[in-house]
Amino acid sequence: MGCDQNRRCAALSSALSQSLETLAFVEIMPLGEDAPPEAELIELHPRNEVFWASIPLVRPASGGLTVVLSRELAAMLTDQIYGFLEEEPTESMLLDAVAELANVISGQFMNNFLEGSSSFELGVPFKGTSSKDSNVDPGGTAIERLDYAVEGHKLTVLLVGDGLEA
Amino acid sequence: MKVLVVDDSATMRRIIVNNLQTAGYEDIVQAGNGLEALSNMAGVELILTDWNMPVMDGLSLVKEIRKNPAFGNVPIVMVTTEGAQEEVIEALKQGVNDYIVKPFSKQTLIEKVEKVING
Ligand SMILES: [Mg+2]
Repeated sequence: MGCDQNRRCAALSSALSQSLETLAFVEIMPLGEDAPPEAELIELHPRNEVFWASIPLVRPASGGLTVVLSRELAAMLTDQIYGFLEEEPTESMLLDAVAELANVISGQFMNNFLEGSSSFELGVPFKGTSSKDSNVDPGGTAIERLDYAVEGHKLTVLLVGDGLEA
Repeated sequence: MKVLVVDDSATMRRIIVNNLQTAGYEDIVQAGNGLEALSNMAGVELILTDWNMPVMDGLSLVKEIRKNPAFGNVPIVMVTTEGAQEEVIEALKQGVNDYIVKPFSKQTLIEKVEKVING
């Protein structure tokens, strides 16, 4: 997506596509300036019930990575990740799947950003639901925000932290 | 072959179990952290473990298993987000047989599993 020369943005963007493609077998499209016309339509749909998960970044940077998506997208990704869900997924299953997705994206982001040259430590996920996007607190001012279209729904990733200079 | 899958995420356990089952591994037990894993070791012939878990992490689990002769030389594969060289070296030094970085494909998982079983 439109990361230009921003190494941090590129590391995050590729972590996101790698994780979603490998875990949930879905492709993602950037929203915003570089969005293909079909993706741009998605942004118009408001998300009135969102699921979110935050992974603390402990070392060598401190901060957090937060994934925000609608209940519908959480359910769709959970179904994809689990393979064959016979039962209707419970809220705790959806949250666990979103948290693990955030965990894998965070790890992949740190591996990409640090280029495997130094080790890192992630914390245990926080997760929850919220009535709207703007109520989700990523734990500070986002230094990176990426919005993507995934199978017709919006997925947002927010990055907060120190020691992550692009 | 009895396989023990250890991860604090129920989702990741389900992904690993699904992959193993489609490759023909039917006898699978699960644990949510290292301590739980230690009490589910009976008859286990292969372990896949996460690194970052509450209560007892994967590296501590590996150390416990390797210092207890009762568990023998059961092969262990670490399945984790941490991909840095020094982490991999540390895990291998503590007795891990192979290492997989998340996210992984089914093919990668099964290849590594077969490599440690046969090898
Ligand atoms: Mg974990």
